[in-house]
Order: sequence, then C-alpha cells, then structure tokens
Amino acid sequence: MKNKLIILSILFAFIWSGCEKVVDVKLDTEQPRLVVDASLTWLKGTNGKNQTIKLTTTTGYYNQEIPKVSNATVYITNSSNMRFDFLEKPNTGGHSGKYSCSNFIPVIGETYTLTIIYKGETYKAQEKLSAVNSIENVEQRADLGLNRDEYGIKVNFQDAASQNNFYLFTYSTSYTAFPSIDVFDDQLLQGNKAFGVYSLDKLKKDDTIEITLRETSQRHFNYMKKLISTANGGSGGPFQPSPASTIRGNLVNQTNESNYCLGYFSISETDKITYTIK
Amino acid sequence: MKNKISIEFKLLLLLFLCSSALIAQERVTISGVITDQASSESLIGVSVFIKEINSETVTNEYGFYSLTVPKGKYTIKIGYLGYLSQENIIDIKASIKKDYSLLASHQSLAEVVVISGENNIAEIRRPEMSVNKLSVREIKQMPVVLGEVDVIKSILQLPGVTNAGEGQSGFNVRGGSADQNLILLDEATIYNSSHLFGFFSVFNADAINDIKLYKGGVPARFGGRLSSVLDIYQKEGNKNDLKFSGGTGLISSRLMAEGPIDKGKGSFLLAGRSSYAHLFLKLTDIQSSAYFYDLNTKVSYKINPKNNLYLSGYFGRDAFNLNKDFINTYGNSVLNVRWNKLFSDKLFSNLSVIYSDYYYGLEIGFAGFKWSSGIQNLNLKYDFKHYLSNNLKLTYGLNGQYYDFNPGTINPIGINSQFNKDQLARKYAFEPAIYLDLEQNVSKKLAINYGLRYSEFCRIGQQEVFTYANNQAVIFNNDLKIYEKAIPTGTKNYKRSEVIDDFKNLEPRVAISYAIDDNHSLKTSYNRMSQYLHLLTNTQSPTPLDIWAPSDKFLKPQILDQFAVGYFQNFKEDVYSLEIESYYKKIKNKLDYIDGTDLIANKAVEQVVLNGIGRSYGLELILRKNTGRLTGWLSYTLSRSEQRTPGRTASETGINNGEWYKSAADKLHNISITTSYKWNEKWRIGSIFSLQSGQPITYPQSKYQYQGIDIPNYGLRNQNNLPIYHHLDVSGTYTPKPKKQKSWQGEWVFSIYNIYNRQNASTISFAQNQETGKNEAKRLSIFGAVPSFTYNFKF
Repeated sequence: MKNKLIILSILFAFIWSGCEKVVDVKLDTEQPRLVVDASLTWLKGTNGKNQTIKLTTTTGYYNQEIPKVSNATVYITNSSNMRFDFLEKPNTGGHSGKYSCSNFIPVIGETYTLTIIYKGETYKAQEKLSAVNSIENVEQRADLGLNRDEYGIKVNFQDAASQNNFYLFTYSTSYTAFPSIDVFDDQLLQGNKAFGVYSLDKLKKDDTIEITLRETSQRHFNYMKKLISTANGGSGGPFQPSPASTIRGNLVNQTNESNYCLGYFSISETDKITYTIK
Repeated sequence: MKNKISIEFKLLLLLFLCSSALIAQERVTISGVITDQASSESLIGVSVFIKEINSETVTNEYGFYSLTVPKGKYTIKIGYLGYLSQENIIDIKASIKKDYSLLASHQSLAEVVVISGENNIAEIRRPEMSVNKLSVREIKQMPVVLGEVDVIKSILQLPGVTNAGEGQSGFNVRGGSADQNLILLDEATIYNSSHLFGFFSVFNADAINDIKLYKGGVPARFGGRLSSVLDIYQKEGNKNDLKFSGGTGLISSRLMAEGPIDKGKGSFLLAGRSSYAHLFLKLTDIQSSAYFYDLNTKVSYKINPKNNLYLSGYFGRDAFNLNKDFINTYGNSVLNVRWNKLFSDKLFSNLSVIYSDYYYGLEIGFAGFKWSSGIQNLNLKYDFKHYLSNNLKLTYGLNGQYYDFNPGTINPIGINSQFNKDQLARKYAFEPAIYLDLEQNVSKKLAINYGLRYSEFCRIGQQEVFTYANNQAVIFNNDLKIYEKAIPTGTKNYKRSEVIDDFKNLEPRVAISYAIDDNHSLKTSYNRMSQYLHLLTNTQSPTPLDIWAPSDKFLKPQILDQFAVGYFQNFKEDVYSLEIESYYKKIKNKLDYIDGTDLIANKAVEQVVLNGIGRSYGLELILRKNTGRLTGWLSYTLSRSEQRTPGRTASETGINNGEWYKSAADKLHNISITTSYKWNEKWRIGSIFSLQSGQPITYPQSKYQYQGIDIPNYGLRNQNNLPIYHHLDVSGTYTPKPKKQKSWQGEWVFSIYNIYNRQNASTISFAQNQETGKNEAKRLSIFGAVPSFTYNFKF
C-alpha cells in the first residue's frame, strides 16, 4: 500500500502547491536524552566483522551540531554469551561518539543483546538477525514522479513465501543530504515478485544511486514507519499517522525506567547495489 | 436496566392519560399545507401562530401543519424566513382544512424593505434549542472561495461550528469530530459531504429547499451520530410552470429544470452541476483530468389530498485521472421513495425506503493494483406525527437499517503486479430503532419536549473474526512502554445472519422552555446519543478514502451525554434577536489510535484502536439583525474540546501518558460576522469576517539523529496551537433588471475571498531540507486572496 500513499500524497502536494513557506517558529528545548543508533548490517558477501554504534543526545530542533556521547561502555553478547566489545574511536580534537568492533560474528537466526552503560545506568535491547533475499535486478524508468518525466528505478526482488516479511530500502544520491528510507511488509503481496521504487526530479544520465535492502523485525518495521513519517514532517500531509509523539525504540533502561533513551538496536542481513542511470 | 425501562414507560403512560383528559373539551382541528405562491412547493418549518391562545406549531418536512383548538374566533399568523407574513381571522366552528400560500419577500413589488423574513428571530416558546436554520437565499448571498456556493462552508459561520481550516472537508460541531455529524439529504444519509478532498461540498444549493442544523436537544426521531444532525431537504420542483435556472462560475456550471406533472398534481426537479475537466491542472495536459459532478432529482406526486408520493435521488462523483495511470473515483449515491399519508387531520404518517451508498475506487497502473472500498445502507422507516391537541403533539416511529461495509478489495492489474487479489473481510450489521417524542405545552409559559429512543446494533455474519488472548487485540509492552498489535490466537467463523456482537441503548431526550414573556425565554435540554459507526481516520479532517467501520467488541459504540442551557430574546420589535447557550458534553468510547497506525488496507483494525473518553464545553452567542437594509449576525463561541485515553490497567501508560489532551476540533475562540447589505435595487453587498484560534498542533521539543536522518522529537500531543486564523471575504451581487419577474432574469456575483491576502497556516510541518540537510519549519497555507465571479440565471 505504500505506493498508493506515496502517490496520493503527491496528488495532495500538487493541489496544494505554491503555498509552502519556511517560517520561524520559536521552540522550547527539553533536557537532552541519550540516543542510540545501533543499526548493524551484515552486507552479503562480507564477513560482517566490522560494526559501528553511534551514541549521541537530543538537541534543539534547529541546532546543526549533534552532541556526541563519550565514556560509555558498549558491548553485544550472543545467545552463548560471547561478548563483542565496542570501543569509542578517537577523533581529532576530542570524542567521536562512534563505538566500533572489529571481531563481530554475525549468524543468521542468532539472537543478540546490546548493553550500554552510561552515567551509571544500564540500557539493554535484544534483536534477532534475519536473512534477506537478494535484489534480483534494477529496472530503469523514465516515467516516474508526478509529471511522469522523472528518472528513477524499480528494484525487484522475490518475497519469501509463507512467512511474514518486513523490508527496509534505503536510497542515496549525491543530490540529497540524507538517504531516503522506505519500509513495507508483504501483507498484500505474499510470495510475489516485489519491488521498491525511487525517483528524483534532478536525476540524469550517469548519476549513481546506492540502494540497500534489509529484512527486519516487525517491531523495527513499526518503529521505522513512525520514524519515517515523523521525519517527513508528520503533521504535514493528509496521510499523517496518528499525531506525532516521542517514538520509543527497543532499548530499556534497567536502572531507571523513566529515564528512557531514544533510538533502536537492529541487526539485519543487507544487500547493496550501486546503480548508474543510463 | 429493566427498572429504567418500566419507569420511562409509566411516565409516558401518565402523559397520555393527562393529555386525553385535556381533549375532553369540545375541540376542532385546523390543518393544511403551506406552499410557496410562485411554485406551489411545500414549505418546511413555517410558523403557524394563534395569537389568542399563544399556541404555535410549525409545518413538518412536507409542509403539513395541524392545530387542535377549542371552537372560536382566532387570529392566525403565518411567518416564514424570507417570506412576507400573513395574518387572518377565522371563526372555526368545525374542523377545517386551510392551505396557505406565501409570497417570497424578494418577489414582493411593494416598496417595503423586508430583506430577511422575521422567522429568523429567536424561537421563544417551543422547547427547541441548539438549532440553527439557514435559508438557501442567505447561503447564496455569502461570499465564498472561488464563487462556489457551499452549504457546508456557510454553516461554519454559525456559533459552535468549525472545521479544520481552508480546503478541509467535514465540519465539527461543539468540539465533536466530523464523523459524528448525521448528514441527511431528503432523509438519506450522506457518508462523505465533500468534493475535491474538501474544497467544495456535495450539495448543489440550487436544488435545496431547507437546511436545519441540530447541535443539541436532538429530537428522538434522529439517532446514530453524536454531535449533530444536518437535515437538508431538496426542493420539490415548481408545480405551476416549467422553469429553468442555472449558473456558471470559475469552478462549475449548473443547470436545473423543474416543472409540473399531470397539471400540477405533481412536480419534478432535475439539477446537474459539473466542474470543468481540468481543475487545478494545466490545460495543455490532455492526458489528465480532474473534475466532479452531481445530479439531484426529485419527483413528487399527489395521489389524492391524503396521499403523496415522493421519489428523490442524488448521485455525485469525483474523478481524477492522471496520465491514465492514476484513476481515482469516489462519491455518494442515494435513492429514496417516500409515501405521505394523512390518516386524519391530526395524524400524519410517512413511510420511507432509503438506499445510500458511498464508493471509493483507486486504480494505479504503475503500482499494479485497483483498490475499492465503501459502504451500502438500506433504511426502512415509518414515522408518525400525531397532533393530539394544541398542547400535545406526538412524534413516533420505527426504523431498521441494514449495512454492508466493504473495508477494501484489492485487484492486481497487469501481469507484473506484485499484489495478490484480496478481499478484506466484509462486515454486516442491522440497526433497528423505535422512538417516541412528546411536545407538551404545560402552561402558557412552560413547554416540554420528552423523548425516548431505543436503538440496537447487531453485527451479523457471515464473517470470520479473529480471536485474541484475554480478548485484547492491542497489547501493552511494559518494557518499551508502547502499545503493539496482539497476535490473534485463532479465528471464529460466524454463519450468515448469525449474531457476532449486539448492543442496546436507551437514549432519553428532554428539552424544556420557559417563556418569561413574548420576547424572552429560558431553555434547557439534555440528550443522550449513541453512535455505532466509526470513520477510521487519523487525519485532522476526513479524507475520501477513510473507511467506515461498524462497532464490535473492540470498537465500542460511542455514547454521548449533552446538557445545555440557553437564553433567548427578541428585541426592538423583532429587529434584533439574541441567543446565548452553554453546553457540556461527555463522550464514552471515543476511538483513539496507537502510534504509527496504518488504517488503510488494515485487516484487523481492532489491533490499533483503544477506547477513550472525551469532553467538551463552551459558551455560544449569536446576535442577529433580522430586518432592514442591513441584515446579518455576529456569532462568538468560547469552547474547549478534549480527549483522554487512559491505560486499561495501572501499569499501562495510555495514549499521551493517559492525560487529557486537546482534540483536533478544539478551538478556544471563534468569531464570525456575516452581513448582507442592500445598497439599492441592483446591488447587494455581502461580507464575512471570520477569526478563530489556531488548530491544535504538536511542536517538537528537540531533535536527534538516527541512520543519518534528523528526527524531530515530540512531547505530549497538541500542546501548541497554530497562529490565529482569520480572513475577510466580500461579495457584490448585481441584478441588472430587479423588477423583471418573467422570462430571462440574470444576476452577477462578484466576490473576493480573503481580501487582505492573509496567509493562514493550514499546518506547520517540521522536517529536514532534502538538499541542505537543515531542519526547517514549513507553513502550508491554502488560499491567499481569491477573486471570482459567477453568473446566475433563470427563465
């Protein structure tokens, strides 16, 4: 159904175009809160040993600088209690907030537990590593976008039959400051050939698009759905989800329940393709 | 429950006995039909007042009235909005039939300036409150965006009525949501009241006779929605001459034909309206089209003086076609047949069979699917009005409604479609109801209306229903403090017509009026309403693809209790009238959705909804100037509307931490000044100034980065408000030959919406700029200053 929503949103945007303006809205800023960006991906064809987790905090909405979190203890254990430590990478001029590990062992179907100890409080989350089907091919299209004149791609893959799957696509180009993320499930396309679609008005011949496809858990899928619509301006278009609110991830503060952190611990097998527009 | 019923019935019985005792005197009945002189069409809500005994009645939806009085000589005064009043003296010795025909005030050649009829004045004696009426003439004089006369937009100028802003569909009455309005066109339910996602409404004002909005004190004959009843009747058509009328504007053109059938025994009306094929699209783009149209039709036929037959229909569609690849069609169709029978001069009956249907279809060739959804509804209704005496009027009846809900059908198109053919489980329901309403004049000053409605809602098979552990379709994850969908434990298959869930409700309604004197009165009312249908929507205002869902054990019926008090006054010989009302409403089982809910193509909606509560309260004021060159009104509403969804157990957080929060329809202040000024015979100037508190909105409290994307972090819901919303609209109506009553008559309507080009915020959204990566706040405004013109004609 995601396609429908996208296209309908375009239609709405179209009817209402020309009246959007950037305005200055004064906003209050609440106390900073720990943010965990632990999206472990195991790229097909690699050993998956190198993994990174980012720790930051929340900050004022208009702030450009993201505060980094240092001096935290970060490790992942698997079901047989094997521990993989993530250590903060030193950065020129201070801390990086990036914690990395170079001996991680990814195993399909294995359950991993992430532990973070920060300011005397322990945060934990658990997630299972799931496999993903490969991207079969990329079809180039020249009839996308509202006016049907944009370049874009249709990324085909096979949905695994007789099980519920949750997919996460990312698309990056040199024109955008951040990747475009799309999630959908196979409720309506069980066992079929499925696809993801991406287009951008600025795309032209010889531009490249980096595409990743991940299989993820239902809980992460729900989390990402909320996150994406919130990042897209949530309260904007007519297809906003229920009113925006804090999006809680899967990390639980074991020491002090009310001082929750944001972000998510996910781990998934990933397929990646870089496509050049012909 | 049993006890409650018997008490109510005893009370009713007692009333019956009292009233029959009163009838013991020798009484006679005067009854008849009141019509428009020019077209012989029946007029609804005409006041028939007998001065000597201070007794008043109004004509019903079919123009019929009946008054039973002691024998004697009486002065009878007939008054109606937009018509010249009549007064005559009759010596009534035996029961008589007396029909009246009224002359529209604008057709009067007399030099008296009566712009608005005096029936706009506040209702003093009858126990009717929280009701607003608008005449089509008033509506047509209001300046509107793009010159498209709009019934729904015009009721927004009344106290207690708001909407989500420009270009938004639906309306909110006293803080209620848009799906809580029962919108009736010739007694048939209209499920979606707007064209073009809310820019225009589905009612073609040319074909409409009468509009009445009940915001409270709702009579027992209505049920099924909590907040309001918008009761619209179509015109019957001219019974004297064949007439054509129409108009053409920037958005659409209209044409209507009406005339007599069988030498005035009946009449017909056929009205069509269509927008132009390329609304909002580039004219050069021949691949695409976007338009709407609607057809109104009505046939009435008088079989004999005691039997009348009516047939009416409406069909409307919106159609979008972008590059023949994106095809979107939706709309309502209704058809009904009504049979009026007069059993005696005191007993009026109406039997109706009504069919309503709402269809939504979407075809996206590129994505490879066709989606359709909708609701079908058949309603059988038998209503009686029994004019027992001038002090007692009974209204009673019964009805049964059958519903067929289609939550969605998916058909793959093209060989490469990724979709499977799928039908989301169809749902069926039966809703029977019986009611009794008594309007009693206890004394010259005190009048009471007591009513009781009994309604039942039966969800029936055939359907396969999911079952859940502990009957909970939504579970609370205590570690993460979030609500999640429960996994069904199995399914239960219900056979055709087998009862799945059953709800029964008694809905008492009471209204009391106390007339201090001829010009001042106090009124109070209480009404309970139950609503069994829910419009699943998580947007500020409904969209055409929202789906209607019936109640079940997860989506419980919504129940409302409303109390209202009011003060009503006419002064300076009815030139001015003032109505002040205050209300308090309490809602049980208001639906709320868990975060991140997808409602479209959702196979188990019960997994994403929680039942909460709601409350709203407010003060409404309307000051009208009824006569003179300048007429119009000032309305002001001070109100609050809130909702709360607490956790089901102590450990659950509920939605928004279980705290009260402002509902989407909350508007603290709402002011509207509507005027119409007759400059001279040829020019009439209209204006509307409207100012209201900004829509509730949630602003972010901080932001964070996840996977390279900036995410705004929001706190509790609806803690902020958009900037104040206001605009001033003006219109001028030019009639080149005002004295001309025959052959071609034309008029020009020029208008400017939002004359000082205020950029009202429809919403403010917070997102990262795609190119720079910087966080921004973006304001979306729909209309700046919009000039337009329309030409109307009749011949």
